[in-house]
Amino acid sequence: MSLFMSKKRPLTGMERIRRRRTLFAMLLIAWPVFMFVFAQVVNMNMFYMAFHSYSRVDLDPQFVGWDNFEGVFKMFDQAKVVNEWQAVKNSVEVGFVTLCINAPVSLLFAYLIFSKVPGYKPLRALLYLPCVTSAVVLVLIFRNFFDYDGALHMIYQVLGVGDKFPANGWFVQPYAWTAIQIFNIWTGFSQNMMFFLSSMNRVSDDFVEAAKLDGATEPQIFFKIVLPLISPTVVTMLTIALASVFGWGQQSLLFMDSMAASEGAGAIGLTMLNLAKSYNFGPASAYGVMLTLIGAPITLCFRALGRKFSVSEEY
Amino acid sequence: MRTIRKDRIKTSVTVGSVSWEFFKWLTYAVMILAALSFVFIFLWLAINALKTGSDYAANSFTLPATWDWQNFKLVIDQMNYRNHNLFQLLGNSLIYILIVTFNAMIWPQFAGYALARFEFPGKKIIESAVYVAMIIPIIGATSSVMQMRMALGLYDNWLGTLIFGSGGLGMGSILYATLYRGMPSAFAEAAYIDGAGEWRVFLNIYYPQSVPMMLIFIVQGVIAAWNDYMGPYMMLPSHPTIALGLQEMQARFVHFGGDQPIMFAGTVIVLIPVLVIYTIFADKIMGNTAFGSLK
Repeated sequence: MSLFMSKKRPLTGMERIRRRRTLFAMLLIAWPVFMFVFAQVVNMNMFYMAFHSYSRVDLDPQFVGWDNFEGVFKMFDQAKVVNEWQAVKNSVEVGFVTLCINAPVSLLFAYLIFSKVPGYKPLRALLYLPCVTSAVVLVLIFRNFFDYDGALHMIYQVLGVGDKFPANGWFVQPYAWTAIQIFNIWTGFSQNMMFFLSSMNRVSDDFVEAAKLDGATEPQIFFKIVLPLISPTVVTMLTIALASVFGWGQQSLLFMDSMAASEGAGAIGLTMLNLAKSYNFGPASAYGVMLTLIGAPITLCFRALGRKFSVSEEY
Repeated sequence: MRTIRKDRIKTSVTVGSVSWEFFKWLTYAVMILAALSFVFIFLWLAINALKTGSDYAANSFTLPATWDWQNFKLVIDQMNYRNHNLFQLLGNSLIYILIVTFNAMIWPQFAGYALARFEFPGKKIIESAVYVAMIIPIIGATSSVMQMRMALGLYDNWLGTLIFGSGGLGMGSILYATLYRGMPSAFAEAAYIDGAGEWRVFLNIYYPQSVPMMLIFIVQGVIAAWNDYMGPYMMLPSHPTIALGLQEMQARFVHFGGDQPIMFAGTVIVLIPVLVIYTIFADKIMGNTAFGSLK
């Protein structure tokens, strides 16, 4: 009997410890899991809301079938002076700038800092400034610089081309969107540059040193060693950047306020924000559902394709 | 045969290196110009914040004829968002920052620690679900969040901001889990032998070791919260922060005109705290290689 008990006791103790540890872990993660599930419920609620209408005073939903989707399609009516095609075109342009201009620029800047060019430390600190500066502040400065009575007009005049400055300033059709795109390029490389740089700093010096000893040139080190090793991070960051294009709209809102669409500076993300802000939850959700059904496969294919060409994550 | 191949390789590398060198230094020049442009606009802003309206209109590139510190007093009267004055806007920004910091100090660590150091039922499902949720983009869920917050009485109030910001399962928890997995367990085992409980081991041994990384995330969170426009604009219209106040000032100027230097003084007020924090923590933020682990 005593032999039986002595065999059982340590097992009971272990089990008790294991149970205590399991309970502790579940206690720690309970709230995060609850909020995670809740966030998914909120996301799925968008699909439900797309088929309902909501009034501002009364949140009780009324089933409206496909009406909200019809409403979204009506926004694309080309007979309207301001139609949603302009916003789609602008969002595609934002995608182009993000992936084809800002991403390569941030990658090159990151590599130059990684290879310790002269003054790389102050350059790194200064180039990160757009990330720590409020978009409101950057937009305000940029707008006052580009506006009719701004500093840029003065520069035009000093250069003797004052008459070339847009008569009504930059923030009207057809210049407003160009100005916003210039702003995007100017401030858009900073965040990804820091991610790429952090990833490059994780590349072991041994790889680079070994390549140098073998006589590799700098382009070879960049294209054959650094870029392949950081490619998983590059693919992830580009996927995030591509997904964010669909929701892009803050800059247009900050620059143009309610005039964005009428001055040719709308974007699909801004349309959705404006619909939500004006309590048009049904059409906003219908538009969101449509864009998710288009955007999610595009983003996932982009990611899958990127992963196919990137090296293993373990290095 | 071998000599010919070597020559070929050498020639191609030399040609490649010449164009690479040119391209590299051209990019370097662009990089310097980009960096200087940020210095320039902040100096331009600071100088013009100290000018009179007429002085600014005459030439925005010269030093002020008279250094007009009055603009910083005038901005106190002129910055207003839906009957919230400058100090109320600053107060709301501080509350917003405190909420963000509170959430950043607790939930990602809790989730990360549980995932890293324990086995429990459903762990694999949770990990997979988090990854799947991160890679499938849901576009335009803002209206759903607004509706849900309204339905639960959590729209346009601080409690809603606290609760809706308290997720924790996501990129943050993954980074903390990686950190906790890499920590040696010798101290914890010694503590267990000495009779320490799970909370004690977590709070006295593991949590303090995660503080350096947490500090970086908190600094970045504080900066992001101070700068955040869309969050308060969409979800807290009755509790506007300083970012909304500044944007309102700019919008009023565009529609009705006014003295730009006063607006610039307001911009400097918004900018200075961030620049001070950034100057103090720049090395820590830059040295954070955790970002590079995003894959």
